[in-house]
Amino acid sequence: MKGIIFNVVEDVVAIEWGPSVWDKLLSQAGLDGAYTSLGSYPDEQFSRLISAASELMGDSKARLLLRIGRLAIPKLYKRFPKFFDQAANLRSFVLSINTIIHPEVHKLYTGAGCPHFHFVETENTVTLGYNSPRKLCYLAQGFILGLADYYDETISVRQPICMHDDHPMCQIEIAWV
Amino acid sequence: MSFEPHSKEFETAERLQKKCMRLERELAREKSARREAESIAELGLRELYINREQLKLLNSISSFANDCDDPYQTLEYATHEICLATGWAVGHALVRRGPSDDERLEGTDIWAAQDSDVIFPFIEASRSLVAWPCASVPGRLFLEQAPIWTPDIHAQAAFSRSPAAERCGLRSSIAVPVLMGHELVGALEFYQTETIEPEPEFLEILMQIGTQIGRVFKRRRHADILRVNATTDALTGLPNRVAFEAELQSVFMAEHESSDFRLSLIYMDLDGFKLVNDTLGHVAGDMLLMAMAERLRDVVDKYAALAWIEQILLARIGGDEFAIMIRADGNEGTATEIASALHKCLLPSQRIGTNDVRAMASIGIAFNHPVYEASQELLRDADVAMYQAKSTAPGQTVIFSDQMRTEALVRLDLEADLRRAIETSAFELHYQPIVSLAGRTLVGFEALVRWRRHDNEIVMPDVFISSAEACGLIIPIGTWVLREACRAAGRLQSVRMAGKPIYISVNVAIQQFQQLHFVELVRDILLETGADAKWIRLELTESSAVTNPAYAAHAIEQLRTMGIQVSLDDFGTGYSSLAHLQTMPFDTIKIDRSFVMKQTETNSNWSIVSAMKQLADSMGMAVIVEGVENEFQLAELDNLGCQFGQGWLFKKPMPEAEAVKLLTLG
Repeated sequence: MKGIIFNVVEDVVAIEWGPSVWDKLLSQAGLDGAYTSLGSYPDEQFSRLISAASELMGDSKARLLLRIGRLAIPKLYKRFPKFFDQAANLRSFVLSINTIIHPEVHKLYTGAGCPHFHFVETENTVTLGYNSPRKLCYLAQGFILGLADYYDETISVRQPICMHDDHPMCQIEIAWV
Repeated sequence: MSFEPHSKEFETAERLQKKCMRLERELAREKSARREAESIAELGLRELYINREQLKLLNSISSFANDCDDPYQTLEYATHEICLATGWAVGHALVRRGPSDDERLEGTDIWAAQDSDVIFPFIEASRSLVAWPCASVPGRLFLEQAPIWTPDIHAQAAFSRSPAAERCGLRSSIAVPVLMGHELVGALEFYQTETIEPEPEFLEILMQIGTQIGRVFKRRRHADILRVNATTDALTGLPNRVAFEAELQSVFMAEHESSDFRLSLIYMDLDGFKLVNDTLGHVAGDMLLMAMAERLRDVVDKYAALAWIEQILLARIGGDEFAIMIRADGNEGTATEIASALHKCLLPSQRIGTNDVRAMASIGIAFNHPVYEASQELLRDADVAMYQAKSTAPGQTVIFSDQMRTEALVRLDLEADLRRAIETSAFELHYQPIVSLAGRTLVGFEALVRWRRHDNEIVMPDVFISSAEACGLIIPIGTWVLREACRAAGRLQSVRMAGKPIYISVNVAIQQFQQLHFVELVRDILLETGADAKWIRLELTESSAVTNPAYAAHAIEQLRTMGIQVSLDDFGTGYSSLAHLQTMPFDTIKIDRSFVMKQTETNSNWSIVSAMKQLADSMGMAVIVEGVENEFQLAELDNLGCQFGQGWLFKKPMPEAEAVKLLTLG
């Protein structure tokens, strides 16, 4: 996993729970925490951090990932405003993940393992098919909620099927209400 | 009350707090410096990545273009690679099919798409597209000649594919010119479903890709030009002999396989062409050929449109030779009808510079027949028929017949015999006396060639000279005659009685006269045989004189400087270009026998001979009259003041031994 993700999570944690919490998380997870955005780090370090956070906060990993994802969006916007400017709304942002966002990520971070999404669209829904060994569907849901905040759109997100329930893939359904 | 301890504690706490704050600030600075360093590195890496990917794309397309001769394949490869590298929704190639002045890009079946099902309506709309130079892409490429980024394709005026593009969700486009120098030969167009402006560096890469593809177009064009040049006559734009023979061969083979013989072949030669070339120059000759070719083309085009004509092909197969291949029902009637139309189309005179020139044609026709084994035989027979037509009169058509085939075979035999005769020196010279009309005294002989065939039969020149001329054997025969006449002149001088030396007059054929170094050849023969130049006269025909008159005048002058006198033979029978004659330094004019033969005591008209004599006088030339057969003619000619004559009245041509006897006896 790319260092940039660790950096963004650090920012979120520092702002939401205070700067010392990040240090506590690192100690609890047994990590030294020197992450640079350009570096690549084992996915397992990310899992250990989330597990540590779950213990420390007394909250489920799913809810934490959802929250981190949602709060990460303003940080990401600050770093990569161009990605946001190219799409006029949540729907077009989501649909451009494969064609714009991830190709751009590849340009910035060579070797980044970006997941590929499948899309099914209806008039008021977009369903993302997600299939990644990292199983970070909740983080993805959090990102989507954060984007809805950014674009000031009211949506509901649900997952009819999920890899955590032994399905081969996750479906994340965004519905505009 | 002392606050010392407290104040110390306070100071320590304050110091620690300050230290903490300082450390936090330091940390924040460090963090922000790290973030900045990271983002500088990110940007650098991003640029590097993009450059590498773009160069990879350029390299891959360039190396494909280098190895490929087919511009269409290169377009296909490039379209596919660019779509793959950029993720653009669809790419499509356009080409310019027409001539270079036809400014119009046409859609092709060359396209690439991320999702062809979704893009299908747009591809359908694109493949039949015709784009003129205009305000919307790709037509704008004609004017701008550089990649064009269009962020909103639907906002363009006259974007005809807008509805299809809308259905496929396409929003923006990039059009790339394919340039060959400054000539737009094609274009690549790409469409995005988003609106991401390509960076200027990438547009530059696309421009280079367009140039690389343009090079393949250039190579193809050169190859095409070479191919066309190899099969097209440069002057008239008609197929040339190579192309014509190839097509004839294929039709010929097909007919022989199906036993369906409907092919006829017209062989045509312009009669007046050589004269135009010789008198007005090659530029005029070329202009005449172009104009005549255009007329022939019009006739052929008219027949090509007719239902019963299956195929008709006109070609220029030689200098002034054209051939037409016709495949039609009722081929004999059709071919003769077309031949008449061809004669007719040449009738009106053609303005070339300040001259009105008229070209007539001799036409030979041959029909395909099971007897033929190769298309060359058909062509040969049409050629034979054409020669037959030419020998009759200008503007004639002759259809090849079996008799001509027999005659042609006889001619072939004759040629073979002639070649052997040259090898074995089977020729001999006979001598006809030339006398002074006033005193009937012998002044010289005309040397006349005879061919003694294997059966000891003497063959007269009128039987074999035209064949010898046709196959080029006239040159070795002529050289032999000249050499032999020079030797004989020496022998005859030695036996003659006292008085002026007698001369031998030798006929020189036009091909012989026009060969390179003819004058030097004459000089060499004189040296070799020891003959005095005064003993030899050369007889040239009018056509020798008027074909390339500048050369003729110069050569005659050189011969005269050597001391050889030159006569104009057969005067009055040819074109008689008096304008040229005036500039030719002849010594003597020989009036053709045809002007004398018919003159009898009861029916005579000497006006033409009289005019010719006056003409010769005015140019300071003497006159020899041929064909003097009786005393009446002699007396009349003497009266007209003609100086010399030859004919049966004096002596028939005789072998050398008799000539020697004549001289010895005086």
